[in-house]
Amino acid sequence: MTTNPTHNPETSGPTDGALMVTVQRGDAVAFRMVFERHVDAIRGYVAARVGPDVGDDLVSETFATAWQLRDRFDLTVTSARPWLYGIATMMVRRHRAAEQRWVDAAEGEARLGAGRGAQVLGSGVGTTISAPLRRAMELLTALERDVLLLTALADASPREVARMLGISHVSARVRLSRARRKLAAALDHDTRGDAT
Amino acid sequence: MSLMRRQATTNVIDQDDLLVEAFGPVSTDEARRDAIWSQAMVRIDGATGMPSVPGARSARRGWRGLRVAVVTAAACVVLTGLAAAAAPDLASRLLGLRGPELDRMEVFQEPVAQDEVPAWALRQLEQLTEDVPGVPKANLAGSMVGTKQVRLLLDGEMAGVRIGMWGTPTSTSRACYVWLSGRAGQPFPARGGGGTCIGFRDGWPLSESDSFDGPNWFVMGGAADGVVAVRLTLEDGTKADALMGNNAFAWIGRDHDPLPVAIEVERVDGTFVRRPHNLAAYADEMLGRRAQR
Repeated sequence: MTTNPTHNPETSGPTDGALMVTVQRGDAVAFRMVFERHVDAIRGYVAARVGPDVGDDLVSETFATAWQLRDRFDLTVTSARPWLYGIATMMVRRHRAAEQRWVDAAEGEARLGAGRGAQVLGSGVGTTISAPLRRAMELLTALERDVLLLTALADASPREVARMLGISHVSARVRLSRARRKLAAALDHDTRGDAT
Repeated sequence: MSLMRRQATTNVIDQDDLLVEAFGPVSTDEARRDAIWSQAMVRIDGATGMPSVPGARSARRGWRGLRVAVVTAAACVVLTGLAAAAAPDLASRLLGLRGPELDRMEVFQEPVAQDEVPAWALRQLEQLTEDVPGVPKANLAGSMVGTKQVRLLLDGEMAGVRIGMWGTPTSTSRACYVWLSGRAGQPFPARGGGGTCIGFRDGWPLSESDSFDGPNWFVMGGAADGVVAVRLTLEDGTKADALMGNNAFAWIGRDHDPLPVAIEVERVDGTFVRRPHNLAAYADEMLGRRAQR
């Protein structure tokens, strides 16, 4: 049932699954190739969650953990990105306190000047989170945020997200549904508020 | 304005677009990538995630503080010019270059011919060795470890494939290896191959690792002093000799040919040691090799 896809049309190189075969045998160079492919995505995600300063630290921790857990990677999967997002989310969870501090700081920063579309994360990372989106995200629970972001970024199904987060897939579906409802309501409310 | 309109009719697709825009990939310059990678490698080594000699890490930890102090002192000595002649040997010992790996691999005591090292292989080795903690980067920049310690360990052909392997000692008990493979009789390609840092373990005289570069499987690595032959038992019961180099060996087989299930080492004193190395089962499990036949 397993396959050996050695060619990835998207990258004109071996798929992550093919690279991870040798990574699982201890090939650090192949792991570096996986790193090169996904560091931008993981960095954007983590930086937007915890801020750029802590973010890079967590990114390195994510890849270090990925190496340590490499035997758990499912080699039938073409892309390692959803798996890395899952690990990154675990790293973010461990740094919830840091995340909260950043949210507080960003909120203060936004209040000081900016308003809608404010760049709350700058300093070289280039990630922008609009004020309405940030406010909407703050209405979600931590787990709802995790499920929502993993679904959107990793293009993962609720079942896959559940596996990444160690929760039941029913719980993942419920959280996703709630998160989407809350987000839609908050964004619509915010837009109406701005328009008036 | 477009953001406003999009938010006014928020649906799942719009939400995902917003989230990807805010939490999606960012551009990471090379220097930052290298910094993140190096930090990850330090964490890996700190968690014994990469192969190492049992017990070496705890010993290293205990000596780290002392080593830092001694290296600092040695640097002062070198800077004042008081020990110029003795500096290379002193520095080597302080950096741990005479650890277990070197004691057991004579090749790392031999003179180095730097022109034998392809640029790509050298770059890969430098990436690997830069990531090994315990060696100050300044020393690597001075090419004490990263280039002058690099040796050609093996250049041979098997199964229609040419393979080259280069190695360098590290500050720990491991050595780092990179290899390039190409068509037999042809120059090495400019890129490709693989590499790892690995040490001898449990008294076993090889530090082998496997690699797959479709359709070929490779079993290769370092061989301690005194190893005169490496023979692999294949899944059909036949035996195949590995290529031997300077403190290195390599075996190459095609995906659908019989793969190794055990490795046997012949020592210079005529004794043999053997251990399972079930690459065949691994290939079957991971690549569905048997199903493809």
